Amino acid sequence: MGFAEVYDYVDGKVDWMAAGLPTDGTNAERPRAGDVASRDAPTCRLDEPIERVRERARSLGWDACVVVNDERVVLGLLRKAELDSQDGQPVERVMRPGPSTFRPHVAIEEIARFMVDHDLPTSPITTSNGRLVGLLRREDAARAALEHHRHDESPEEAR
Amino acid sequence: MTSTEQRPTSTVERRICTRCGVELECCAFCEREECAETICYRCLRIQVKQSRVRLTEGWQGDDDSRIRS
Amino acid sequence: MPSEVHHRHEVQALMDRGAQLVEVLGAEEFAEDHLPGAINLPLRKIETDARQQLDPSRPVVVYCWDSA
Repeated sequence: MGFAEVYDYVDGKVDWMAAGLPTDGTNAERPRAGDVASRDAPTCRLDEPIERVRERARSLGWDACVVVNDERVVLGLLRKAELDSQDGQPVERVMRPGPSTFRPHVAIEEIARFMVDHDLPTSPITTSNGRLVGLLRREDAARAALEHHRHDESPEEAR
Repeated sequence: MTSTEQRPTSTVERRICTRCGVELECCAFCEREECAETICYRCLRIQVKQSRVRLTEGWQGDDDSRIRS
Repeated sequence: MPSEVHHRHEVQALMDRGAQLVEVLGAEEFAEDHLPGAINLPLRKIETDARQQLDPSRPVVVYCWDSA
């Protein structure tokens, strides 16, 4: 076609968005999972005793805890059932390994809908190499989705 | 699958993705075996616009192992 | 055949050199999210419209959704 230099960005716009880089378009102004996820969610290590993690998570007001390594790569998840496990066990034995995680760029309305339909209380948000960005709570996702929906509608109501 | 055949519904004995019909062990979103909205990893990623995780990235917890073609 | 670039840093370096970004997905996908400054040339139109819309003297970076 007569072009001297042509490159194929193989990993595409998902790679770009997963890195949190800015985009243009109608979705650019929509809240995303990474904006709403709580950065101060409790984390723990594989070898910690579950009773210690339970106490720490609940004292912070959470019924969940994300299991990470030294580089904050997500290894597992402890929800209520796992936190309530019998004392004396290491986290590694009771955790949910390899949880489904979502990238920061995912639209909050999509995640909120899934979390409500599937009755999922929390979901870890990670970078494309698995590092924890934060833990998203269903109620926070639903609220953000609703607020954005109202914001979208308000110009109509003003007329 | 012909048009005269009915798409099987998701049951405890035979779980299938409610989007594409592929068989799977549990819902890729909530990881529950008995989920009325069972979805496979691939459909979930397409729906929320995430790429498939590439093994070369060293991400731990790849959900692909749950999918049965 | 285009050269492959796998890292966003390479893309950013090309953008610094004045590269033209081209998204080859459909219009609806493009409208929702696209790289800053990208134009939309769906695959079926790329051969007919590329010369009209792109400067052949500048690098061109084409992309779609992901590598799948």
